[in-house]
Amino acid sequence: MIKQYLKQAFRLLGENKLLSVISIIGTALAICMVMVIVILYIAKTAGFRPEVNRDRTYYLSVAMSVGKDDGRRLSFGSIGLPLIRECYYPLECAEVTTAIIRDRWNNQSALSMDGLKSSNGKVIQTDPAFWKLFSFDFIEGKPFTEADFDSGIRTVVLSEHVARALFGSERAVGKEMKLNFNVFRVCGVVKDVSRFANTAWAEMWIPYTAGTEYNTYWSEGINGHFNCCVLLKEGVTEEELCQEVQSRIAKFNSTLSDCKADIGYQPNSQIMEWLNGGNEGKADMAGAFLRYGIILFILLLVPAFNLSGITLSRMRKRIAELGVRRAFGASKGNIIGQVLFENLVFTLVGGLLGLCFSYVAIWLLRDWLLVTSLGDAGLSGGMLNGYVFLAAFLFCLVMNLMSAGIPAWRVSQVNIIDSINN
Amino acid sequence: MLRMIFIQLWNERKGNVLIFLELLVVSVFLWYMVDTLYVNYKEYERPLGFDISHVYHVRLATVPQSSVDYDTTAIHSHYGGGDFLTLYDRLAHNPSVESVCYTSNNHFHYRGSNSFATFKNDSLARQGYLRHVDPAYFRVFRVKTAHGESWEKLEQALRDNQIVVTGTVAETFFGDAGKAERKEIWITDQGRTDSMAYRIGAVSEPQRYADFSSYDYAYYKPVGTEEAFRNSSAGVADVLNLFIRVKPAADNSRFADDFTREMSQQMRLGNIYLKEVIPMTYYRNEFLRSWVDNIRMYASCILFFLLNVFLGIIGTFWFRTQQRSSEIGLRMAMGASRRNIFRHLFTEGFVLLGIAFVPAAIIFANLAYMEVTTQTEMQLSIAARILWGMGLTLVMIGLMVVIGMGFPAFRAMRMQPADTLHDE
Repeated sequence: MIKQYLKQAFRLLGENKLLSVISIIGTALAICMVMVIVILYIAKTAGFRPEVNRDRTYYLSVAMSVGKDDGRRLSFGSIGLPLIRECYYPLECAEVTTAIIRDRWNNQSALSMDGLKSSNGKVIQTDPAFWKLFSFDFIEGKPFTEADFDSGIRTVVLSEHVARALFGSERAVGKEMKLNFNVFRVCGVVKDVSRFANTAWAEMWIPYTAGTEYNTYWSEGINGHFNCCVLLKEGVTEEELCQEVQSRIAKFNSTLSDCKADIGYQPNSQIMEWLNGGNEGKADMAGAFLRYGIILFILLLVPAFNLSGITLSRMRKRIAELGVRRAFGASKGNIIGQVLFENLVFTLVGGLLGLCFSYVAIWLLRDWLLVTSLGDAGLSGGMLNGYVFLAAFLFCLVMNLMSAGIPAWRVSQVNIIDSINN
Repeated sequence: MLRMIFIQLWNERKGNVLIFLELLVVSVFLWYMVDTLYVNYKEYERPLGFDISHVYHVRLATVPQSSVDYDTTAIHSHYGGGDFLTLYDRLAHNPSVESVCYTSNNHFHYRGSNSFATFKNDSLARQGYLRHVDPAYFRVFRVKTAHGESWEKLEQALRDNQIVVTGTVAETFFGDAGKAERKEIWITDQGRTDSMAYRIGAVSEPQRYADFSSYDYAYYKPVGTEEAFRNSSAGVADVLNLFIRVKPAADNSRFADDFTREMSQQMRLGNIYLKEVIPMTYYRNEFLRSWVDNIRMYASCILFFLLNVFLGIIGTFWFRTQQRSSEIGLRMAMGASRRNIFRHLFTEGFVLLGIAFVPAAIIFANLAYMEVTTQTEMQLSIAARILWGMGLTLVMIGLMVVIGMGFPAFRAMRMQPADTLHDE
């Protein structure tokens, strides 16, 4: 049966070339637009190396300090170490808490010991927990240790391209280099990280105790240079984490004399951080998803009108054939099934083409689509997982239902005698 | 002819309903997007109140004390600020540099770090920004006075230790810029509980935060006296931002690299060194990314819709001219010229678009009424907005109808009446 439908579908494709081309291009364009959106959404929210735990990661990236009595605004921005030590490191709902200093704007200069080779890049200053929250691919060596961190020993993890620039190869463990005029020992080299990993991405990672900024804070320790990420413990809910954070903040506030910390609606989940990270106020998740929903719906609806029209005219021609099938005992359901299935073949051909288009589009428009706040990024294999194909297939099914549903229903309703008379 | 077209459209209503719906939906969304782009463009087009072209950020840094390279003979705690000023002069003497200035961390265009301030008088209070700058800021960023004169007056006001307010502040609190000069204004800086009265030395042109934002309230204050500055520590290199305006003739895409290489020897003084030279456009692009992405997304959606209209029209009418070949043949036989046939089909397409556009306009009017359309604080002429939105939408869809109808209509025109009537 299915073989028969397939045969018929391909015969139909050849029959009216213009209409076939229009319907396939229409489907392909729609699936292409939808898939570009889906692929970028996946790159920004789904877990991939090194940010494998995105679904359980919560962000505490900013804090506001206000006057204790009058609530006047003092400062808003990154967090100070005292607040992190008091409130975030001891969190019981968190499996791991890591504090990160990253200078968004400025590069740091790395030099080989002889000063002949240099590489400017972004540096993350962090703690050993960072390596538990994120899983990097180590080519050689390992992360800096607790002991290094505790005594502020200058060790650095390099990404492979920095290692290559400074030492000519990625075998750099144990060698020394200069970072901002201080001598650091390389303890590990990792594979380059996709810039879509916008929390873990850097080119060099050092213990924050080896830098100088970690001890700079203001507003009684509420504000400083840090952003925090926590990994939710297995079995703990988001609400429990929020409650614990809020109660710890309240306790911390009671120890301060002139200010208090206000962290707004944080901790943020990955999606909230993506939509609203670093801003004041609550992320309008419902609004954002409604917007996405409307965009996707319209992107499918408009071509569906075209395809419906084409399917309808195609079916009108075959009404006699369908009448004969009905006369020989096919039910209305059979007819609907046949039309939908035949059409699905077209949709899948178009969908496959559309998926290819979407990769071509992403590649052509990479200067726009793949530029993150950290610079231009490539898509990595990890982001193009089964979900992409599953999503593409699902959207094809929706598209198919939207474009062939009404015609299928309409031809199934035609009176047998009328249709044979045709 | 119109009457006949209406009758024909009505008789084929079953076949027309889909293309009608498509035109309707596309018209509404296209209009929405064109309207958004129009509002964005109008916002973008207004003067910014500063000019970053040919301006570069010169990033200094200090050698950390823990480094073996730290020069212990140059003890900055006494004259680090002085070193900074020496470097400032060295930059100013470079032949490709037109002017130099520095600002404090609370004013860096397009970097989004601010100090807030509340402007007050008896009855009004407005939120705005406090900005610590060097008097030369106005020269480097080409800020004009409220009357459109160049920067000298603004620079002088800061040198006289008075403040400069933006035109928006002057207008709101004093009526206009002329009346604001020499007047006092009460301002509460962020984090302070008390207000201070400041004498306004000069009024700058109204300024906006960035290309898609509205005019805001701000005042400028000197970073500090030169005396106080000379005695500050080397930390100044980390907390102050140095900017240079480059002579247009000297500016090119390689300027930042060349300048860094050329100046790094000269810019090493004590433990301060030159780290990077970054064009202001870098910060601008970063800051505007989400807006620009949005605009690009709208543009790609518009393109997508138009392509679909084209496919829809060509699909519908290709089929229809085929079906109606006998009718067309008959009309030709009855004396209709080829051009008549062509015009007839085109009119049919446009009537269809017209019929779809009327409900589209009603839907859009409702969307506007419910404030679903893009909102702006700008005083935009509603007539102009509607005209532009509707006009552009109609022109774009119309163009697609023309192209989409072109092929089938051309084919119909070339039909031989004898052949087509043969089928009858």
